[in-house]
Amino acid sequence: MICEFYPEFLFRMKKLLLTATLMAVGLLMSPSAAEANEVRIWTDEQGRQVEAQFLRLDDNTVYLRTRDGRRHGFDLSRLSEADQQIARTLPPMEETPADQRSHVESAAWVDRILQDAWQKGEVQPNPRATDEQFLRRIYLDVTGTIPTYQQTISFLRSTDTNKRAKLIDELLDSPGYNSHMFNYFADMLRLRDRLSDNIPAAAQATNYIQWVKENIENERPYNEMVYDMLTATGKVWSNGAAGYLLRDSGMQLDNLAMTISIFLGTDIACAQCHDHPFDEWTQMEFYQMAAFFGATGTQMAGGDFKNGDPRQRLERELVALAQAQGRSDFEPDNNLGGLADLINANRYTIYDLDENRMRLPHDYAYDDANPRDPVSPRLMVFPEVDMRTHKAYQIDIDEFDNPRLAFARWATSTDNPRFALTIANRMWKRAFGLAVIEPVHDIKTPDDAAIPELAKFLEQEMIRVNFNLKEFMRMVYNTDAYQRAATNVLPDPEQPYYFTGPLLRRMTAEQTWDSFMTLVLGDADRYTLNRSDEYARIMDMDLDSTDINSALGKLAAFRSMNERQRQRMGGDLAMSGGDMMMSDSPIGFNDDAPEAAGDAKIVVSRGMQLMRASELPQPAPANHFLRQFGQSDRQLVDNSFTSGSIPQVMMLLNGNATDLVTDRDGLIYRHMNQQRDAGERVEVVFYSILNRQSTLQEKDIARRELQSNGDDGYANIIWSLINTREFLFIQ
Amino acid sequence: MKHTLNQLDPLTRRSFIEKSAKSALGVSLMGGILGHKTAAMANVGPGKAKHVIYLFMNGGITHLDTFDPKTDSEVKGPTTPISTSADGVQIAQYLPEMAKQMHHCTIIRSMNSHTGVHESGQYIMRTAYNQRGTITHPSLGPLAQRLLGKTESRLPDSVNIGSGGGHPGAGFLPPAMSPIPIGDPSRGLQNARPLTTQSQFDQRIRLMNEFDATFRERFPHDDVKAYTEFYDETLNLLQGEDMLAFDITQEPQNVRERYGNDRFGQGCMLARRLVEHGVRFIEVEYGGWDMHNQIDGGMRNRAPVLDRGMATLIADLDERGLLDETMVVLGSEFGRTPRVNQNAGRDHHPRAFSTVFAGGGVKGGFVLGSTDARAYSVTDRQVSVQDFIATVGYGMGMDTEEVIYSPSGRPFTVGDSGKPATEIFA
Repeated sequence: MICEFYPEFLFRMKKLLLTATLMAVGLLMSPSAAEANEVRIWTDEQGRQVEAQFLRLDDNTVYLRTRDGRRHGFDLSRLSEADQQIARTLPPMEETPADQRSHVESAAWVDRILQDAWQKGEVQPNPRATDEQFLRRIYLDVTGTIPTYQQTISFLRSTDTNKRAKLIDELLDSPGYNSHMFNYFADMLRLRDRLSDNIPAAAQATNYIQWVKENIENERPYNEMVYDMLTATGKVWSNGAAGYLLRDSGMQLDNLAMTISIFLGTDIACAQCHDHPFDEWTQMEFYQMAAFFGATGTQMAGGDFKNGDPRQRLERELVALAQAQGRSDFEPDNNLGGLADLINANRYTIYDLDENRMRLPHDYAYDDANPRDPVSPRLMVFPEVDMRTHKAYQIDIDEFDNPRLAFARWATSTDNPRFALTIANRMWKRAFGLAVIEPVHDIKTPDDAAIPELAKFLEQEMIRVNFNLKEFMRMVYNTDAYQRAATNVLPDPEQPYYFTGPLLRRMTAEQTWDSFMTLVLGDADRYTLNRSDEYARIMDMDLDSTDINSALGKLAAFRSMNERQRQRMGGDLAMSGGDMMMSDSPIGFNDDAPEAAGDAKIVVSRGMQLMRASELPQPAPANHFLRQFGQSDRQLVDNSFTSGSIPQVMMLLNGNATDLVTDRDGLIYRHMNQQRDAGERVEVVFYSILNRQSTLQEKDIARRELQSNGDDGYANIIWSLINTREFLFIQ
Repeated sequence: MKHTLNQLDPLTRRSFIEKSAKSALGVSLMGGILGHKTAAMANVGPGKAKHVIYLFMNGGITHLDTFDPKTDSEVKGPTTPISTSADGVQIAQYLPEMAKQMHHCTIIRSMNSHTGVHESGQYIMRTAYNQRGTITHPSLGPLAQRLLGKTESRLPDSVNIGSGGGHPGAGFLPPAMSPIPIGDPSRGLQNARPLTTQSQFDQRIRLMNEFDATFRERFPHDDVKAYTEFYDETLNLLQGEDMLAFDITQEPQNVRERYGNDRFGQGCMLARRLVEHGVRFIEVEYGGWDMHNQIDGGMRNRAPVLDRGMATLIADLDERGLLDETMVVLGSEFGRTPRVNQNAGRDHHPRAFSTVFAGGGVKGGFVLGSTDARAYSVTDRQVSVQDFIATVGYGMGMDTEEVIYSPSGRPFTVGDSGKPATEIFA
């Protein structure tokens, strides 16, 4: 990535400490480039300075690399006379092109930045995590669940010196990665089965959800995904990406605030209603941004159809049909019923309007315009950016068919000052429990980071991997810092945190639930549901041309699809984890349970559908285990939580999930039964639940327990380990 | 400015409030470290209502066929007004038991809302704020806990009985302030019964603490400590007498029957039990009021349940001397159209509808505001949804002008600057 323009802000540092420069020499040596030039202070024609490494001189363009790893190319004449001279004499540096750097080299680079920060911040890094800690953490972080008993012992017994890196690779390619990354997107994008409360319930987001899953599975670059979501047209069942805008149909301004917050890490929500009292965003700027979506419709009204209001037309046809069948008393009002929902659901589609309808609000109170004035689209300019020169802003909105396309181009460009940074910052937080710049949706300026070099490097790294999130995470998980022990206290919120190791975190709701699924099912990834194709086929109706017969056919198909789903489920999930729908059937799981993909029955036990969170309704019903443990209600961005509550604890103490894990027909017992003696059986319990050996002291406790309580003792040990803080937290 | 952990979290609120929940407010739902400010706030509003039981009629209860009956033949529908225990106050014939309690009640007949959509209408009737995509506002129970402090009860401050999804709960306040949900009153609190005998349960708890000792020592972390506190509090709750509050089988059979052998009636009875145990805010939800078709049939089905449950609740609280400190409030997201539609039903009508108050310092036999002869528009003393929420808050002793801030620094008040209808208080 080379900035082809002259970087005004490159030279803003007035004075540099010599010590910092000396330390930076080692830092800036690319791991693969042995003959690197030294970092030195460069002075421009106006006397401003920057520390950077000389790369090469092409004709009259000089290329420098700053501490953050960024390369800058600009006209030689911008430099002071003396430095121009130096640039002409230095040898060109042999570079490893950034895009050819491996994740190992990048991880090493991150570690060097961190080591430098530890030194400057005078903090000690945490010790290296033990294999046991690493194993449990990497499984939870990558695949969203604790490892199985088998996975635990096979890793801990392996003597391969490179086993950590190999495990990372293996897990990144497992279905668990897709499931867990989906959970993250579902929280961020507020994915719900029902598109929105304001839309008929028949309008399901099934295809949007499936689209997100498939994009993750196919390692679709994140920038392309976002571009698709911002520019999608049509109905959600023909284009899953359309779900992003349809999700907020009728709430266009809220949608914009969330778009800027999710993808560009900037909170402008306050400016929706008034100029922000202490931020830079004005209400005018908010509406200028909203105007990019002012020529985009999300709901067709009756008059928008060329053959007239489809509902009225189909009602007339229905009456005629009834009369033809000799039913003269037929009242369409009472009989359109479910058909009206199907028709209404098909009105939700993204299409271009012939004019930009964005206007200022009726109570606009500032002097620069009148209430209800039309607004033209204009890009927001981040504080440190000079839009006259910044590459991302060299864009002619009028060249695009719809201003929304210009917005999407700008927003997802590698040159956008926030896009790559925001997703890199988010992904870092997934691994470490804290972002480089907090909060992730309101980065005021990248320099706010405790370690600005890290923020900049991660941004660059996101671009290097071409927004492939899996590759980015591969780099992060391979850092030495990630593989250190978790920080054992909550860091002081007043102090910067230098990532001396990941934070201790409570499992997310999905990690907790999925870990229970692993304890019960072993490989929980075998149980999946996908009904998006069938749903799309049934729902899609061309409201201009459909006749009443085919509409009624669709209604029948819609109802029978719902019925089949209900049968396959053995009932609603309404109270799983609760106490309403007890299942009489014995637990149907064993190691060679039938493949559940396709039409196989999903295992239902004690009123719970035993599947990963990513396969359950989105979100799970309000009283579900997942929701009690903090799964997002999907109303707000990133609305999940990991704090405790009394109902949560009651669920762990006495709930169905705990009951299931202590069941004697269960997986833990079956693994125990393969062991010869009590001591080994206790080890199975520890390996299964805490994914580690028991200590001598714990062996003692267990022995005493088994002596006094016999076989009940095993269930007691299982129960008590499930209820430890150690189980619930990720070290 | 270097980033720190507590930089605020506008859209997503979480990490900050989780920290503040633990450090500033205490993790406790019950008997925690929160100050008991009730006494000090007594000069704000009458504050006689130490408890509120909010009967939430999901679906939009018709005002014409309940508390604002009309005689105009075009709009009266199947309804005839009847006299009540309060002079000059008439209600619909569907509510004969409530008619006997009207001397305890205030009806506000001049309610006005701006949304005719169920979800957003319910949201605003619980929070006073319009539903937004960028923040969730707290409902009244958690709001009271935030403003007045935790009650002295060992039970949670807020309980929702029979609530469906979509309840705003604690909104942007700490999740630990969320109302405890109870689906079916006859089953009480979920997961309250051990999976084993009590002695085996106790043994399991001992084992848990032994196995977990090393971890807790190695991680003297606030989040870990918070969980250990939650465990302690839960065990205290489960083993304490207060658990009986949730067990309606403790009630004599004749009392259970008096409330009505249905979820709503039993929910009202459970709410009364919770009040006796010091719970501050209980919502009992009762649905089925979206009567677009056949309003007479719908009313014959629903009204007796409401009538018996609510009337018994008021009478029972009164008999027990609890009505003075307990405010019973009946609300719904909107009323229904005066014109009876072609399906003999009524449609959504936010323009004018009714709410009812009893106890907690409220006047008896009082009607505030009125609608025109068709019950279509408010003609006198309009009370907005914001005013309504402010009125409940005022009755509870909350300062409706006190500003609280969301984690993103946005300012909010009880009732979104609505004005309490102070006339309804004695």
